[in-house]
Amino acid sequence: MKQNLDEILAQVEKPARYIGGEYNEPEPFDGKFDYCICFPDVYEVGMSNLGIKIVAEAVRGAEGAYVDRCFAPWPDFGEKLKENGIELYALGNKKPLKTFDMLGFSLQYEMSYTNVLYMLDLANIPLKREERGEEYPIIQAGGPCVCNPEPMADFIDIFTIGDGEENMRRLAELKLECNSKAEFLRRAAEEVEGVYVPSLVTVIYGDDGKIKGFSPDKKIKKAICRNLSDAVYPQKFLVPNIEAVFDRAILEVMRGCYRGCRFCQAGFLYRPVRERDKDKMVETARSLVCTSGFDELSLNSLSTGDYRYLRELIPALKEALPDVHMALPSLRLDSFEGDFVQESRKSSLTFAPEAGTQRLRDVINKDVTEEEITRGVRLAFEQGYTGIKLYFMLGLPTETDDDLRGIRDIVFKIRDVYSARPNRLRGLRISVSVSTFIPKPFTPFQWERQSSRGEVEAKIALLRKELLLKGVSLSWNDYSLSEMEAVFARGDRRTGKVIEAAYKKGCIFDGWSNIFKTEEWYAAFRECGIDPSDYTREWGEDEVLPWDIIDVFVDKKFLLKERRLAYENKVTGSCKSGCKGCGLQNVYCPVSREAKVKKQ
Amino acid sequence: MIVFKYTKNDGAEFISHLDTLRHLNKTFTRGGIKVKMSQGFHPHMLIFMSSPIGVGLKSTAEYCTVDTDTPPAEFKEKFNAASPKGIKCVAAYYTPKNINLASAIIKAKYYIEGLNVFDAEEVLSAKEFIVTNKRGESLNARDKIFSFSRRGDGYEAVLAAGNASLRPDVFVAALKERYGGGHIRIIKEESFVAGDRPPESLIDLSQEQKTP
Repeated sequence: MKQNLDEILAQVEKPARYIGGEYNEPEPFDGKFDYCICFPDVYEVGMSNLGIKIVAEAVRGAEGAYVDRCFAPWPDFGEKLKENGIELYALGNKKPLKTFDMLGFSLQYEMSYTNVLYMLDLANIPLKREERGEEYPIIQAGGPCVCNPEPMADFIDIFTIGDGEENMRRLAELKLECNSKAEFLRRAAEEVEGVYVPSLVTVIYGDDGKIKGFSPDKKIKKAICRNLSDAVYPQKFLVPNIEAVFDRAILEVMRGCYRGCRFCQAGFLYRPVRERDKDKMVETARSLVCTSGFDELSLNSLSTGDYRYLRELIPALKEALPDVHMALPSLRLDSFEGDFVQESRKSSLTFAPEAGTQRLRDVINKDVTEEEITRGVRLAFEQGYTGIKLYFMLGLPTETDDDLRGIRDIVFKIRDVYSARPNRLRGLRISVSVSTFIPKPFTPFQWERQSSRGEVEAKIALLRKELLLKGVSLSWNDYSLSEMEAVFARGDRRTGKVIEAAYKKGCIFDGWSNIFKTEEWYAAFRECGIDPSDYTREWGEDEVLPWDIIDVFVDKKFLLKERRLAYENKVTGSCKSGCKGCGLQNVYCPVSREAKVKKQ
Repeated sequence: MIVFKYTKNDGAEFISHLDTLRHLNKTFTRGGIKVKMSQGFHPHMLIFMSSPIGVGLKSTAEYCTVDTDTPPAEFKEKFNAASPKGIKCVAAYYTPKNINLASAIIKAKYYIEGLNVFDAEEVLSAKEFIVTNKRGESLNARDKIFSFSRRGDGYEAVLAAGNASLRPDVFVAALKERYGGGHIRIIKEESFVAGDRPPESLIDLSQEQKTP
């Protein structure tokens, strides 16, 4: 006997994920353009995401647009929906996703790709774009992962590359002007910044199976929001029904990063650096806190310590919102000051030196010195912290066993700093967390190979031996998961088959290591005749890369120069110390423009 | 201090006890209801909820005590202006001290829909009533059933609540197994303290609120 939704809700874990009705939810209405943001992960993760909130706000800027939301149902609820023939629905108006004009997927993480297919499937929408006629919604995708859209190109009708503040509203308006899907896609590709329509681009392969080029051979330029301070930003957040990963108000203080760490994709993708107006942020913070009741406010960016007006912003926020805790989640080690905290509860503080020796930190352009690390932890101890979390990468280019032993040296130095303190009430806890380096598109390391399983296992074995110390714990991630992430970060259009095959074998929520189905994934690769090592290998500098169709305005020549400097152990340093000429200066970069003005 | 009675329905029945506490916290902040904080390493609002109700069970008789100087009428108005859907204050009273509702409430009345029609007398006339609790153990819960009768299209039951409670969903699952039924809906309608009196009877209404 089929059950209705209420009965199903009574049988699943955390049913409040699926009922909508959050505090601050706008009243649903029948829009002229109905858009549903689809987040391919569970409610608690999606509700913490800032990007989708900005996109929702942007689309609402189009007259008559209605914006709703949907998250990936946890497997227990997904199964029940299937069993009972209930189609996946939007949380606000409770209508099937199929009835919307456009669904917008937020691709934040490569290992959420199967969840896109899972959500389409639960919505009874054909997975492949070629199988979807006019009767189905347009499937759009944005977010950081779409800088290489190719692995998802068979499933997505339209990708939006870059900032969504302006082009998402334009897309909504354009949709209202068009009479057919084909017309909309064609005009969007021509008229809207940052739009990539895979059905309009053919990939040409050479006899060796490598990519020869694209037809037409025209790069898709990412969209840049030039004035963030005046751009749309939510003034109210939905209050999640159940505790979200981050249960707090979020201010994005700036976009982009001055640093240019060579492994960091976000550092290149989000260029140029744009800082927000501090007075406007205080007003936004006040609105967010008063309308939501959050008692924590997080100042987000890739490197919040680099925000130039932080010393004025923090006191202004404290004055405006005296009862609110402030969190600075991505504070770099060298910018850590005792009066800033990462979290409201002083349990442990996280630092990410990323590499164990100064040499290797120079290679990756992470210009943090050992003195800065010890100074940072000393300040942390003075503040009462008794736990330190350290993040490192494993398998970085040029890495040797000495670099790994450097991790042990850092741990020892931190212990020395702690031992030198009077009144140590508790023992020091240091947790070292290592993750396998993944060469990502649009970074100077995009051509690098990923370390093999054997190499990584040997490195972990060495670290386990070196870090067998009291009060020190070591954790590492599953190699298979990192390997898949590398494949789909750098994959071409052919890898889409693997995603579909894996989904058909039951792979969903792959980013959840307790759910990740290793065997099924490798079977999917075999079935499709695709070898993961073809994508984790080193790529020739003259090879056409799958993501060469996209232009994020960072010159390939600049990336190659950075790669050489890495091999010479030379740092490039931050944009603050002068323009490094990455390419953005020719398009739009307030930092480089300011530097030029100063020089003159 | 304020004791207030509130609902948990209209979707809010799916919100867990802990999450409900988080929503109460935020409601007070948004509503501008100043709540006294605990003095400790991690200060938190002084909110004392009655015993948890199972996820999915509706209620129009939840109780909570909160340490605030806001007068009852103002409290109710501010609370309802800022509370989420389904969590609404029905009544608010001043109390000079915290009446420990979590232990004082010992019985609750539920209205149950969706069971097949059967002779309600059978439940009370039997010596034993075996239920399977959430841990999968079978036990006799007869002494935790105080009344059970047919009412309208459904049934009304008064069951033990608080520390030695009988969960209504556990009770109803046993009935459904025995007599059959379809989609079950359970609403908690009233809570009782000793002597089958309402929790409000514990509040010393003679005490006037001192203006802070």
